[in-house]
Amino acid sequence: MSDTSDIPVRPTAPCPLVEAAEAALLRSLVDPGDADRAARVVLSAAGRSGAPEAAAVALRAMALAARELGDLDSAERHLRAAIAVPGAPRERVAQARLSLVTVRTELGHPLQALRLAALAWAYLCPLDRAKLDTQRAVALAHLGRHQEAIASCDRALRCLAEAPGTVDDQRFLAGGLLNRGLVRCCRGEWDAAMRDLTACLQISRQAGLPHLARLSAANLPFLAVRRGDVAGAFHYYREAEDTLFGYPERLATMRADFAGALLAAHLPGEARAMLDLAVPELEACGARVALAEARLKLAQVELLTGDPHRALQVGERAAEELAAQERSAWLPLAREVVLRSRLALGPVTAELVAGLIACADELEDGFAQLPGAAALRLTAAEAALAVDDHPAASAQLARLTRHAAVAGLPGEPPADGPLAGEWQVPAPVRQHALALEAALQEDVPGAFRAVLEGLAEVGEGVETFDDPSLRAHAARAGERLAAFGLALAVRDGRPGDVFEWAERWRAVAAPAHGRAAPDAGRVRAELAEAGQAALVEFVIDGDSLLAVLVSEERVLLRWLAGVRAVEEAVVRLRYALRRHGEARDWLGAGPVGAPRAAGPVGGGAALEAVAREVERLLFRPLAAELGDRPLVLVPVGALHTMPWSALPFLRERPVDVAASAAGWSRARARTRARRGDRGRRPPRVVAAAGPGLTHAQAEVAHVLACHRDAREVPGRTEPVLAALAGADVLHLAAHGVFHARSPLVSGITLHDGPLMAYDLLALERAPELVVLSACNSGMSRAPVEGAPLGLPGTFLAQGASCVVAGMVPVADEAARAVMSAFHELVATGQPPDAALAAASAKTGVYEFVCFGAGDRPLR
Amino acid sequence: MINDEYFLAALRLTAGTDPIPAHVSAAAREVYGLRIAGSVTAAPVAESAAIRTSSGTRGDDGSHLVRFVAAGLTFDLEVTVGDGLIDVAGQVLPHPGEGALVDVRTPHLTLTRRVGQHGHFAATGLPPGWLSVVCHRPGHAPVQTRWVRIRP
Repeated sequence: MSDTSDIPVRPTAPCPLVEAAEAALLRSLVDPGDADRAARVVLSAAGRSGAPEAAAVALRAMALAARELGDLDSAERHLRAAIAVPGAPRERVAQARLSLVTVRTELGHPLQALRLAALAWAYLCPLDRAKLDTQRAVALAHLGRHQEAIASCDRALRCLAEAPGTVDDQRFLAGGLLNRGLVRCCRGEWDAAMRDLTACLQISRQAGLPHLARLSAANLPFLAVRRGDVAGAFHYYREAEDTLFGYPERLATMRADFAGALLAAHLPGEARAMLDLAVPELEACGARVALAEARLKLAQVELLTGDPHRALQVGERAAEELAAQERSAWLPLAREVVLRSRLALGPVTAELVAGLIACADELEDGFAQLPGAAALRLTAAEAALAVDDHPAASAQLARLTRHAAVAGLPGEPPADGPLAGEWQVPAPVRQHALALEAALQEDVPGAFRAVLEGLAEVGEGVETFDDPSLRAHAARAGERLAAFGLALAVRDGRPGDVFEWAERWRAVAAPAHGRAAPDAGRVRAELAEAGQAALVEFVIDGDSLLAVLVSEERVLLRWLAGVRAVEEAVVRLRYALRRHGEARDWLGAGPVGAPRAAGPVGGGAALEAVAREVERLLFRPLAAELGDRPLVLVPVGALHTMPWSALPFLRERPVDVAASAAGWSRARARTRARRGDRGRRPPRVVAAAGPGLTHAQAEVAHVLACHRDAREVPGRTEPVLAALAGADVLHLAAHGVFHARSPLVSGITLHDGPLMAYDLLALERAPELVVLSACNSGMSRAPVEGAPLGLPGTFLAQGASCVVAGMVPVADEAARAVMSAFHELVATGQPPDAALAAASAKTGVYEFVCFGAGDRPLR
Repeated sequence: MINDEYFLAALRLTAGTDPIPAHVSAAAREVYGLRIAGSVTAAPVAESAAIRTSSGTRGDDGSHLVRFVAAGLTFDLEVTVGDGLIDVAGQVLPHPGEGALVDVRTPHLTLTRRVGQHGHFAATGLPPGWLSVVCHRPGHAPVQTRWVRIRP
């Protein structure tokens, strides 16, 4: 975290040289390069004329300028020279020590910094002592002594608020607020921290201290993420990146802090990108405290992103650095990464279990790490079970569940005192431990109850967010708990229970209005109504992919394949489909629907072979039951990227893809309601074409010609968003872009920029049918099941019933061909899912999928 | 450091005056372990734009395609970066023959996959960083692609 530097003040300066040195000192924060030059001139003049006071102040000015430029070693050298100037007044020496407190802290020696502060204290005036206190706070915070740090800031701020109010007093006041705000960040007091930082920003702007204002602004990205505003955080980040240009150490520190917040918000990909920039920069400028922290975060990210080998190496290095800096409060965190990496690399040993337990104990002793300690203790218990050490596992579980009765009172210690922190065990961990305890005693109903209560608490946490990606990430806290519940249901082998648990988990992250309890009976009745359709809900249990098949007659559970094999098959199918699409030469292919294979990589045979293999994995165990019924598919994991229409088994068959059975049912209910409102009026169709395509305009013209009440709108974001309010059908023919890392930034390219999923969140209503005739517009990423993030999920959450969208890149001409056929069929009264199946079969274009409920004709 | 200083440092090391730091030996052993004896190395010959023949697709999904050629084999390697992890799909042409295997390798991980009927293969969930693919053909020397760096 970026903290303020200290600038000393003396209200009166006795000689012109000292005055000049003081001026350089003040300038060091605004224009360090200029201040350094001025201070050097003063220093040489002071040397010639024998003015020790001016020399000490000039050296201190050079030190502060060097620190601003990120050169901590020079800063220390200049300060030590200032302290050693023969004949310098004791107060000046004490002020140099005051500055050295900050520099030694940043160089990784916070304990020494505190000793320096004690030395300086005696010779400082009350106002300078207040300034010293703002700097001691930084050292204390680095040592994890947050309470003392805040007390130190409070003391200083009281004194500074009553100071004469010169620019320099304002400077320290703002600096003290900044430092206190940062300590409050460390304690998780986000709102209080925001108050301090905002006050700092205001004072430094009013007092004309742009640099200090920038420092406070540099902490806003971090704070915004911690308060749950990810989109705002990236906005602050870009601003801070511009304003900190030229201050590499501060820029790197800002990036590392931001990465930490992104990591906590379950965005490891984004965090890794930040740390890849920050770590080398921090190495280069020798900011060892910040470097050790950044390295620790990098190790955590590497573990999360699937590289335990690198995580182990980097974590061990971070541990060495933190130990060298005597930062005992941080050490257990580094040990935790190392132990978790070893656990991931396997095998589990008794020694590793002991290490995990010891580390959880250490984390628990450090006040700030209680939630982490609880999560690690649960991991230790599971590891103990893996080596059949039941007594150790039970002992650890007991520590997590001992105070379950008072666990509902966060922030309030139990009546018998805050012992060992059990009352702060996070709900999902506590409930998981309770469930595991019950399961070990063969009390299956008790275990289910514990999981259910835990998921309910996670659901309450999800409700505090509006942004779908934040909701999804908040729901992730319940992921392992839900998996445990599902595994219990699968072990018992009752298909109805498995369906219920799969739906329960999907409901946690689902949009707020869709949280009703799952009801298999209603789903079966609706399937019968939808042309005797069948629903296949895919679920993952450990390494296995299973399917629950629901139809009017029965509910079945089938084991399908290993998850890895399915993931790889999907990736191979997407590859084959893309290469097939590239090789298909539509312009030279004669009649539409007769694509020819071209080049060594093309060829329908390769695509066909891969598609058959996927189909064998996913549908062979179900084929007899499914027959040729219409299907509703509820994907899981990698299946959210599955180009379903490419499977021969699904061709010419109406298929709806939904986030959950409940989601499909809701989409159908919306269709019914809309149809009732519209009466016999024909659907209002709105179509627009994006830039840079040869066939998009012709496609739009064809769509308009198919429908009675149809109009074209300009292909720009504002007119398209405005048209959504009154349209029943939206058709967009344009380029599409999918961002796996930030799925809600995915969008359709219009003439004035992308129409992003984020733009749709403010919609009052969405059209009944949305057709996205664009590449990858149907792609989603599901951080948790039940809430896939992408364009289809967003349109459906905003009230659409059915979204037709592309799953891979689509050739411009091929899109025109299939979409023309699709609208012709929809206009003649075919339901959208059946129309898409028929249009794909007719044209040989299998890149599009129907999401939501598309089983009812538009009129 | 100037060249003379490197030379002196090398002399000191070979004379056994200074022990080789442990992490240097460990890194050297790791790199040596990645070597495949007698293999042919395929160099990259083209990237996405040149390989993708189709001009009019409606968008971009962020996948990256690289083509390597050596010993009569062409590797097309397509890498897709998700949130943190990467997926690799590809094709070896012409088909390397019955029983051919492909190793998708990172410095710490090797995933062995059978080559499909049309030369296709895939591996998922790999950490970003350095990546290489080796094709083992019965009766022929293995062919490996150069190491490429995939950024998250």
